[in-house]
Amino acid sequence: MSNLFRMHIYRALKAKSTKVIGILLGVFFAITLILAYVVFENPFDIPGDVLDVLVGVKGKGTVPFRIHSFFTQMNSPFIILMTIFTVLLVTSDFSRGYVKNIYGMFQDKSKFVFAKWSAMVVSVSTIYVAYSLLSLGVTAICFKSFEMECMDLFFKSFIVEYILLIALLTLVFMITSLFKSASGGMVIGLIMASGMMQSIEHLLDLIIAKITGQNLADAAMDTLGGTIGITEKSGAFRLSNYCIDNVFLTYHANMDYADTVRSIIVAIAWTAFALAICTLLAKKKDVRC
Amino acid sequence: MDFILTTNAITKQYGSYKACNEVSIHVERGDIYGLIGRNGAGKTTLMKMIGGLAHPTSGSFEVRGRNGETTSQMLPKIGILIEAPGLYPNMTAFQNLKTKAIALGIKDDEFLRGLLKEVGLENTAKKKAKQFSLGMKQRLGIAMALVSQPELLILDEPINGLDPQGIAEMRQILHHLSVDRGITILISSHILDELSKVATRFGIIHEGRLLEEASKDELLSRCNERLELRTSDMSRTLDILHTMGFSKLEVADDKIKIFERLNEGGAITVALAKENIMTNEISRKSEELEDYYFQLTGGQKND
Repeated sequence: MSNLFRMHIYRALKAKSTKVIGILLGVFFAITLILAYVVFENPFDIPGDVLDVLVGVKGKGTVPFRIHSFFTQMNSPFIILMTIFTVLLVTSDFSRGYVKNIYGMFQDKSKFVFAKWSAMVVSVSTIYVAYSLLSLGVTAICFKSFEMECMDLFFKSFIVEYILLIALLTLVFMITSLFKSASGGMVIGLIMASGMMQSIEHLLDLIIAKITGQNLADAAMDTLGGTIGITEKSGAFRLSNYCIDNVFLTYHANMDYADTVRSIIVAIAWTAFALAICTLLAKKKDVRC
Repeated sequence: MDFILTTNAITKQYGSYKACNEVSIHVERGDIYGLIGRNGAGKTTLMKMIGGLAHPTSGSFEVRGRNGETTSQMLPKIGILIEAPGLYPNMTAFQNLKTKAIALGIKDDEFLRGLLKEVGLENTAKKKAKQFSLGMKQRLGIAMALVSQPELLILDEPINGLDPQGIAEMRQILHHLSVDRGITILISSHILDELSKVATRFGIIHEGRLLEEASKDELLSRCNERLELRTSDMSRTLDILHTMGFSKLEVADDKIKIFERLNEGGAITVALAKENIMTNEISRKSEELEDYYFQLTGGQKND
């Protein structure tokens, strides 16, 4: 399996699409840095409440956990580019027919799933760490308001967001493996990563609340509040709390302990589910090429 | 007999359609086994099953006498090129080989360069696979199949779409792999005439079933291979031939057709000369393999 893993990493490093994604990450990093300057340095004197909404995470100051969240989570290009990277990694050998050269060599086809998934996780992890550290480093150097404080929240945010990111991308990995086509995986992956799916999940929450006779105002606040940084919850069951795209996009470091644990459990459950489905798909033994 | 590959009533069914129906082929070590059949006859499906790309619905195949699917070390012994070669277009020939080599744990770059030399692609340097001609892509596909150092090479339509020079190059490569490296080759092609030049054994497959399996000599004899003779005195020639012990003779269109002892053309002309009979024409002829194939499968040749 380690050889297959190394093969995927070698191929990804040589791929033109990886270079394009790298360039786009650089461009979006620069744009996000300018936005971050406007929000955190506040040269236009934007009112504080509006800034909170723009940052997406309540709290004061230009501190690492807010910077981190602003660059990797609030700013959708990062997750969208990671989604595109994952889809291209999954489909690269199928779309070019390269899989024919190696698929027959191995009896245990689940090796293909785990090797490719491992390559995806290692690549995304490397990019995630590099992107986070770069964003912190650049803001620490360039922003006068930067303060090295609330590091506990930074580490919490860094780790939980990472787990959620891997879970979301593993689901994209599964969907793309199911379709075995870049277009199918790309469309559904981008719908999830861009937050379009959230609208449907929130609507379902409201419908369930209406059917079960719950207070609709509470339901609306529970489901929509998270997207604008409101942390107070009614505690009632909300479907969107268990949908990985919504959990990823609404996670913030100020969440209480129970919600943080729930987010991690949801992420692990989705990751395990997606990998199990991929393993089952691999057992089909017939390769489409 | 030393069979490197045998299939035992191997079948692949998609719904109610049997793409491959109880096919049993026998490939001897060192053979170049030509699989003949129309589009949709089941050649590619059979090759995919042997190459580990498809799972048989029933039946099995054996490589060197051991179950090919369940004996893990058997699969790397098979190199495959099914349909178009699967290449990364933005990679060079070497990088494409390197990618597969990494998957198989092969670290010897010189070995990979040697493979490129073997298929005549050693001078492609930084040229990307997408800039290759079809012939170059096919040759790279063969090099890809050779990375695992297979004992059995499966080539599905490798000469399809190639120009005459490309076909000749491919023939040379196949000859080299078979004779110099001792690799057994299972090859399919629509170009029967070309296949007959390289293959030593044939399997004719039609609508998923194997109709016939025969060596080249057996098949050629079934193609009515014969000597055709025209002389200055046909009736005396017949007498002399009978005296020489020939019995499988036929006279038609001012020619005598001899269906046995085909390598005795020289002796016949000498015997006729002794009797002052002039040999106007003597030649070795046969029906084309294609004619025999159409006769067997009930199809028609498109002239």
